[in-house]
Amino acid sequence: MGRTLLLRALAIIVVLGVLLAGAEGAASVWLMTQEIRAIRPTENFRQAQYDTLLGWIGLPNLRIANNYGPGIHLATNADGMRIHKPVTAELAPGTRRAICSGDSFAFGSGVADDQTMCAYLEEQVPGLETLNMAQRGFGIDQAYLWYKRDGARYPHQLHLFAFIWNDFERMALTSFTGYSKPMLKLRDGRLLTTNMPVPRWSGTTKAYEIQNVLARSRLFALVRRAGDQSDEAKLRRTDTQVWSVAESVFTDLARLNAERHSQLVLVYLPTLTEAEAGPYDQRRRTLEAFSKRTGIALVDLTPDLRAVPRDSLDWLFITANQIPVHGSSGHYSPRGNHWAAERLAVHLRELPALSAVLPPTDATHLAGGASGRNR
Amino acid sequence: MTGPRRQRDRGMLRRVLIGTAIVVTATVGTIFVLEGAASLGIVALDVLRAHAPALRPSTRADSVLAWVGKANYRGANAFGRGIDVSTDSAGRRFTPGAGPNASLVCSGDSYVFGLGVDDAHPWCAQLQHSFTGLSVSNLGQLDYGADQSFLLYERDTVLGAPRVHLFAITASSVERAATRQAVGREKPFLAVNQGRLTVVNAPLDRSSTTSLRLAAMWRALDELQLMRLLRQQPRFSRAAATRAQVNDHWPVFTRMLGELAALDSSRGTALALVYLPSSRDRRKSGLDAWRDTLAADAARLHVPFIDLTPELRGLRPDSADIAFITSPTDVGPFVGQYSDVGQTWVARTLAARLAATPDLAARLGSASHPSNQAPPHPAARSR
Repeated sequence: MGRTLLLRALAIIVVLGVLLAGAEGAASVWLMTQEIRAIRPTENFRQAQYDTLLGWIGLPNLRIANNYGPGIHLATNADGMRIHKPVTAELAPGTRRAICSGDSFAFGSGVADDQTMCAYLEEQVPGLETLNMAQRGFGIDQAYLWYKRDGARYPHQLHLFAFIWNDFERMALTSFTGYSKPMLKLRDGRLLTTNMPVPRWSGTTKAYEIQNVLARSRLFALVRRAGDQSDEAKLRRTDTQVWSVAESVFTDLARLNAERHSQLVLVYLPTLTEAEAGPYDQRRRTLEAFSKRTGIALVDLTPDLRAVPRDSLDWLFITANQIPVHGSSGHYSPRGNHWAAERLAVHLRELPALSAVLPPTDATHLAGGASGRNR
Repeated sequence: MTGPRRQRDRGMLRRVLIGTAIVVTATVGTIFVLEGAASLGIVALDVLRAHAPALRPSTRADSVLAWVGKANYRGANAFGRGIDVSTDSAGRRFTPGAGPNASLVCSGDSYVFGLGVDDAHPWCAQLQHSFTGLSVSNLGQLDYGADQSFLLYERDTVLGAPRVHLFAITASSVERAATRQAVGREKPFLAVNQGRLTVVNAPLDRSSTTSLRLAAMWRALDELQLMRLLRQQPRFSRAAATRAQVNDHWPVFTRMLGELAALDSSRGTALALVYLPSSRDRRKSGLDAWRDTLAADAARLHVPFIDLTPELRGLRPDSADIAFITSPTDVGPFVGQYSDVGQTWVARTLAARLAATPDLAARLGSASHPSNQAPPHPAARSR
């Protein structure tokens, strides 16, 4: 009798528990549904078109006045590269060209065509013509694949392969912010492009935001709590997955550049989070060790950023509400792009391997301060 | 088709439909139960781990004000690398270069204290450079309600009457003034009894660790998704409840401002009410109604009311962005407080407004050259 009562009580408790969990779960799903319904689809915010190999590439021949705000224009050439002046594949005699590869930082998200780091570099290194071969949202893998496929069409003597910390993270993904992308893997020591042809994306997507909402579900939250969610641990997990691939990419880039009679320079662009020492430094140290081991030139602008007075740092980055265009905040402001170009030029001059590549310049030009136009 | 066969087909169709419905219901139900169980698990963990919040290191318990600044506190790197916090012998935020007799006193909460910035950067300290010969005293206290600021000023400035008193109010300090507790800790609560403004719960019971922990546990329960859903209903909305609480308490608040004006008047001090906008004030909202009421109260009391909200809204978006601390730090969540740049902006804007108010300007002395109005801020944080 007593045992039956106990069993009944237990059964009632279990049923009530399941009902409570069901109600809590239904509430959670309902709240997520509300969030998803409130999402406004971002319509091809990268202004890109589908590419079977790269996932996406800039729309060709764009001329959009006030793209990011008043006076902040966007122009691309027939190959979807961002341009600040007419570009031809042929190089005028006596001119040297540098190709800038990278993501939105090199592309110049939020700034005008002539205010990107790559464009400013022409001011800093007279006689050098630059070609912006960066795309918004690219990982190291995509920037490499684009250069490998199309870089040879534009004769050049210098290849500035720029990236930020997050570009390593993107290498571990088959889609980023709703756009499908390729993924590089190593097989028998050789780079293999997978998820290719890249699945088509619609251009109008809620997918990324929906993923974010679902990732905040309580079920995922509980699973995440079980693991180490520190930045160090996250970076370590990514590096375990992609570092050897990234090293192979850099090595192959050096080979490609040698074939194309160009000098490769890896350029690490710091974000605002890296203004203070933190978990990203370990990756930078590994990168530096790799550079020393292989002889591939590396310019890391992080120490330069940390030398900038604190009150000036704010002016180097686009703040949260400065530009009402999706995905602009956090990137270098015009002043930030100018700063990056100026520091990059100084470091490029210090690289012995580039003495034959860079056009000879009046030294007094380099001694100039942080002057720049339109900032 | 024969009758029995048609009947058999219908039966099959019904079975398929019922089977599908069972599978769909079971799947959805399982998802709900798993999601709900995870949520209950998270909340249960948070409830079990909830602990009694300690007083901030720079403060100590007080039987009337709940907490006040510790005397002669020195917190090296207390707000981050190179950002020190010090207090003077009276427990007030130390202001470099301030003399013993303050001619200007600033009252208020963390926006006055300068949460997240070093001793030289609270706007009150910077005001010292705006007027020749001015000496300031920063009475701002972390997490204070406007009522606590009033009581602190009333109690602790009896002997030294300043020439000018800037009583700074933020939306949060108004909200806190309408409550009896701050994160579970008893705080003074003002009411009007028999026509007199009184602290109804003084001396305060020292909040026990258990009661503070229980309050923390209760806050953890707020993370239940059912609670979140419930809070969406106007009847259970926390924001609506806070609004109603403040509106109900406003007559007491008005009375408090009246007593503050009378107190300062009796001491020969010129009072000015200052509304310090937070990031919540960047856009029009229900908070505007409180500012309007404050302006009306100030006008009735013939007290200058300086509201910096229009100036904040007039800033370029990027300038307004960097006026506030935006990133959490290792030592504390100072997000939303004025950054060094924001403090300097407040000091400059306020100095201009004070200089334009004849009675206050006469008491503060001549304005310094604009270039001297605020010290440089080499340690400005980029958060």
